[in-house]
Amino acid sequence: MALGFGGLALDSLLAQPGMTAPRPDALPSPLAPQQTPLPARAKRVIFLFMHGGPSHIDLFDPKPKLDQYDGKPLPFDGSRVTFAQRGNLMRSPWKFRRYGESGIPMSELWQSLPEVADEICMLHSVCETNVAHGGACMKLHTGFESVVAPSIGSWISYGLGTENQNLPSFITICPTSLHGGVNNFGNAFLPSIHNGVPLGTPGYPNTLAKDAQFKYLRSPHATRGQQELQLELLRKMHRHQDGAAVEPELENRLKSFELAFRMQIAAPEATDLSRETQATRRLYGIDNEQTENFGSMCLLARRFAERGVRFIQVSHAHSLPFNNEQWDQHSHLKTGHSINVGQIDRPITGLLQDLKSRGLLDDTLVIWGGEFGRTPTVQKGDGELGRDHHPEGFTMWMAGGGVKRGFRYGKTDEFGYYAVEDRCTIHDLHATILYLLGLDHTRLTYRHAGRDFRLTDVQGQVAEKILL
Amino acid sequence: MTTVEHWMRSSILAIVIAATCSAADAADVSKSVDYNRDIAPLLADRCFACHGPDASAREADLRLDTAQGAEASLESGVRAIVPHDPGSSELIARIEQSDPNLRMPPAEAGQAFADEEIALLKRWIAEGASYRNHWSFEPLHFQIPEVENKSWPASGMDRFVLARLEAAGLTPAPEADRRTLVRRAYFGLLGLPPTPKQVQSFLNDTRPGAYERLVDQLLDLPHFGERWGRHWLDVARYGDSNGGDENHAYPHAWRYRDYVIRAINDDVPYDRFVAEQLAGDLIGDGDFPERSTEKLIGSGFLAIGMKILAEQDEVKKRADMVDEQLDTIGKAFLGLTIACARCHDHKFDPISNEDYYALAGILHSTEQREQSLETPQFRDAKSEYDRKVSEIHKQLQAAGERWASMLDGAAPIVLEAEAFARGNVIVDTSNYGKQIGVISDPGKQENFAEYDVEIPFAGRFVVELRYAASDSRPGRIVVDGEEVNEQAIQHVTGSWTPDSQTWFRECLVELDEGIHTLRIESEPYMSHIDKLRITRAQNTNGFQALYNTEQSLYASLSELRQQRPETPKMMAVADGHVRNVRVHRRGSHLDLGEEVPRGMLQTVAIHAQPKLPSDKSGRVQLARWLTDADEGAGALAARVIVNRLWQGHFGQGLIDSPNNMGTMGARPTHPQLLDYLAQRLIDEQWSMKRLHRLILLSKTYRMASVHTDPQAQRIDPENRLLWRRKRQRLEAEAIRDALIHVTDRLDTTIGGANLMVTTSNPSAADLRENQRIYEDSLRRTIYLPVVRTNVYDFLTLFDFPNAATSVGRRAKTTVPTQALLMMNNPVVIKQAGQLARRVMADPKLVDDPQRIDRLYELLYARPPGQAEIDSALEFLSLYLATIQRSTADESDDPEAHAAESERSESNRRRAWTALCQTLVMSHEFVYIN
Repeated sequence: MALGFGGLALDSLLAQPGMTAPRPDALPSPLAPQQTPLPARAKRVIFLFMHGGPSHIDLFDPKPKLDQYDGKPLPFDGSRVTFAQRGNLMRSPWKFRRYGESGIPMSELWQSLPEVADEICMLHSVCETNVAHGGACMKLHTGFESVVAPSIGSWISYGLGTENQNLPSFITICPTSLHGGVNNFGNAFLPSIHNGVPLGTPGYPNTLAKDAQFKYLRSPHATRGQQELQLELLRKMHRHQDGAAVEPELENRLKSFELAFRMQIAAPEATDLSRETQATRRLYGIDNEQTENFGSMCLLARRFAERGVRFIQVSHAHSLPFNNEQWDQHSHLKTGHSINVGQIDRPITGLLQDLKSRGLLDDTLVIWGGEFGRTPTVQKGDGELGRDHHPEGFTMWMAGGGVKRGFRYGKTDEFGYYAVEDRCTIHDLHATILYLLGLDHTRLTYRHAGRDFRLTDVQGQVAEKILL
Repeated sequence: MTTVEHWMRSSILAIVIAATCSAADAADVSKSVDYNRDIAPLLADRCFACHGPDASAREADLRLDTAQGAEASLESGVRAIVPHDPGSSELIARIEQSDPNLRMPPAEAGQAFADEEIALLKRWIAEGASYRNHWSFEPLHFQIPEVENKSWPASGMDRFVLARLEAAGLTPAPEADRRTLVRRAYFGLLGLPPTPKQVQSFLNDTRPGAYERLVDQLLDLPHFGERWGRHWLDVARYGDSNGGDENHAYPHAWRYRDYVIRAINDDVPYDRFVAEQLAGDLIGDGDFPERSTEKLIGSGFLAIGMKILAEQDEVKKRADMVDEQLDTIGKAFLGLTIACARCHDHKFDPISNEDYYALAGILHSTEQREQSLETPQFRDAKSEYDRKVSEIHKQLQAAGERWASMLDGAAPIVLEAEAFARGNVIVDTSNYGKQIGVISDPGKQENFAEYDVEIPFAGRFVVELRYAASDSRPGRIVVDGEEVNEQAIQHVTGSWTPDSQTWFRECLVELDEGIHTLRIESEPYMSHIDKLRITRAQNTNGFQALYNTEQSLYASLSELRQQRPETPKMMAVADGHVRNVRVHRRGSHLDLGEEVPRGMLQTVAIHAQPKLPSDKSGRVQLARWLTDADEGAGALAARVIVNRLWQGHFGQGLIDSPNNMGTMGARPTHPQLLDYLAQRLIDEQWSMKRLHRLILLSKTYRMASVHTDPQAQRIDPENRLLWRRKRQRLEAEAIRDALIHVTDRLDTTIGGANLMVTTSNPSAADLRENQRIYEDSLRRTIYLPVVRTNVYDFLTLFDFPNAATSVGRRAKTTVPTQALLMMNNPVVIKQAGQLARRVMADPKLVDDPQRIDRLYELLYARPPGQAEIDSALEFLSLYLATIQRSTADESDDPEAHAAESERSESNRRRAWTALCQTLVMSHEFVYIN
């Protein structure tokens, strides 16, 4: 065949997802799947990032005491450093109910999520210190708040490699450019192959799912056949070049072009939602204007998960016209949180249900949460009421991937202010995520600037009570 | 005798004590165990975290980084190390322990020692367990070695390299051919490929010394500063935005970037270069009177770092900024990770927690600020501007005097603007109208204010308004319902505030005795009007002419104001509240310990601590200490910069961890060579250009890279002994610059303000626009802004460093995303198109083989071989066939036939573009042999 591709037909060049055996023409890749030092309970992560700070006491952590103390001052000392001016305590405008056999409480804002209450492991005692979005986002994503360090997805890619060499190991879907921006999915000092690859230009507002693309995956001019000709010429030039044949670096470079060629085929296939059934699209709320965008992002996440991508982040940030402040309701808490929950409720429920029915939930760790919660106190200001940033105790949750189902871990005090039981810092959270993936957070190190860096710095304890 | 040779002789005589060493650097090849080379790396890696310098983390009260600590009797009575007696040394017993509970290091803390490592430790103890100071803290030490092949070395430098090769039984590769050399020198010194003409001119220079002349010529070009300035900018973590949590532009950072380029071009001595960057605001001019402005810009080094600007805890924010500065200073100048001592004593290097806060005090006493920069150009432009303004003011004053003579001296009627009878404007007495009271608009609307004015007797009256405006907000004056000036209130006074309130003549009206209605209108906004004045005119002859003159003077003034030269700004530092700080226990600003006097590192300083003035931060002393080779850390600082230059030229340094020369850093491959070069730098008054020249003219630099030597490959596969030249991948900047340069379109302007791109809160559309700006730019890459969290992806994909911290050595990755970029990036495709156009339009090229030949000359500085020409020709015909196949299907259109030849030309261009793109995708374009 004149237009041959190293003698291999195109179809066979597409490595199959999950295929781990080395191929004769495969690039000796730093992304090759690694044996885990500990038993892996989860193989991959989907992180649903709620940018701005969802209010734990209005969503998952009911505090009846707030009804009693509504309008009264906090009866103990609050935070030393605050973001905005704070007023007195404010009750939640929503009622709570318990759902499922496990009786997980959720506020009435949630219409769909109760269907999967028994899959969820609530972490009610996440606690941190940074009250600003930027620092808190960096801490959540990288473990550090004042220096630029590798993102958790990059660490996991570095520690585990990935199962599909034709797709990036770490994909972030429609990320925001705010509050750490690319630092939140950057490789920092780790090799750049572990950088999070954005699907959709990071932005404020962030790119809509329907417009999201990987960069440079398609030639603006050349056809596939024409690019094959270019590759063939490159190959010839490689052979002509003095000494190139014995230089592993140059050999690798040639292979990187062949791999790039394969990625051009694999990526569009992975992001093509038109192949999904109507039922699936409905499950994710793609048939509904309100949930279409986030639903598509969740469905993309499942498609990447199926194809062996190791770490997938989905960001609920500034995507739709109203939502120019994400979960950051310093005022109009009621409207803001109603809209935000409305956008994600069906999609994330659908995601958990879909993963479960496909048998993927057992080894996929789904994580939901923002960079902090919101204060039990009202924020001083005009107009509709809202709450300030609150890192000292807030809720995140996990599902699948080796964590207990229908379980509540940790507690905040009776006002939802401080985490008081089974306190879980971001370092602890990270240690736990790595543990679930079969990695020891104290051993996953990278030497940089004369020091062995870790995701968890010098801290971090695995939250053993949540393990299945 | 050339200058270099002459210098060599005197320096050898001056420095070398007794060059009796027979083969090579004794320390390099000696078989006896050397603490620094063999033992320290093992102990540091496995033991020091718990048994090292950090007192707070020390376990079992055992310290293994000093002889005293290692030989002390422990609580259990045993001694970790008993010199000359490995059998009695507890250290050996514990690392050989079979019981995992007793074995060191503990399983969870680190890797067990390998058998050969244990053997080495035993030998070291048997030989007396001698500890030595860490090599980089020792004074410079070297002896120029003897070599067998005396004709090879061009200088002492080559002898160090050759001696190591000879000791290993290897020979250096032959010299590269001249085409390779010229391409290597151009890229190495300028970051640009030579043009075919430049290559030819070097090939044609057959007189002796052609290569020396080439090197001297390149070192004198301003592009040298761009190339090597960029290397320094990696170390200085240069960025154009804060780039941590948020991303605010540093609009003046580029001045520091240009400063670096100029300093490198002017060969500012390295010690001076260091001093300007740390204390440019404090040091005197000394021998550099011409650098009085430059040194101020240099201090921007301390200000351009990554910052977390939204940190709500101001004390923590300040401490983090100081930490960022200290981290950079340590890595950049000393090759030490000082910031490790922020929370505790350094785990591996002798830098105490107190040392950290002694240095931190110096930076806590320093403020970062944006400052005005009175450049000579600005001063000239400003004085020209001031002259023009004062000229107009003079004329306005003359006009004012003529008005005075025209107006009745009798009392004018003066009204406060805010005393309007009717109106929809707002009154401001606190802000823009502070102490005077003004009226203005409340927002967009049709503004008006009406006044009922009692005129005592009939006559002609001049109406004047007093107002302030930063932008023109024209309106009208209406008297008794009749518009009398439709172009009123239109001037700009320079601000909205009372300080620029000015009287303007607005109109002349004829009024009867009685009450009249005066109305001011403007929309959608209104200037800040303070007063109205109505004065009877005595003699109204010439009113219109005078009015016109005055109006046109005001118009000129406002036009001039728009061209007012803006005061240049720079990022710089100055001493602030000078103070010592207290130790922050575990790095926390909430848990303070003892106050530490400001000062230098205690252990790295070889001699006495410099005395710091009580009323100054101490940055001058810090800079002096850093480069003081006799009393301070100068030997280390010289090693650090010499290694950077070596790395820049050879692709790998003499030490692999350029920003870490501490205990955990790599070992030098040629320690005595490093010291020799460091000493030369110091002896040459820290001139970096002379060191560049020495390196470029060496035989070592000129070796061929395409050279096979099976024995060398076996003994030294990584080429650490330098038996041949390392093939080097171009950096991101050089790839992009070369790509634009080969199409003859590179804009070679030196320096200047940045392209304007959006930094804060960018939308996806903003980022696309930024991308377009980057893609359209034809400037050299060093001039593209480094927006920290949104660096141009062309650069990051080719390993452009993360500017969050000082980077000593870039990664050199080969990943498929780079291939995707070369295949599909619009800039690559566009430049390939330009290149195709260039060779297709060249009338001197008569056929395709000639065009291909030209491409090879442009891209690789060599002619193609016949097989290469054939491959390219075959590619063109196959590619053309694919285009024709696809277009044949679409051509039923009758007009298509007429356009046939046009289309065939365009098809040809597409094929040539694809060829050019493939040629720039090739190894040879992005590698330097």
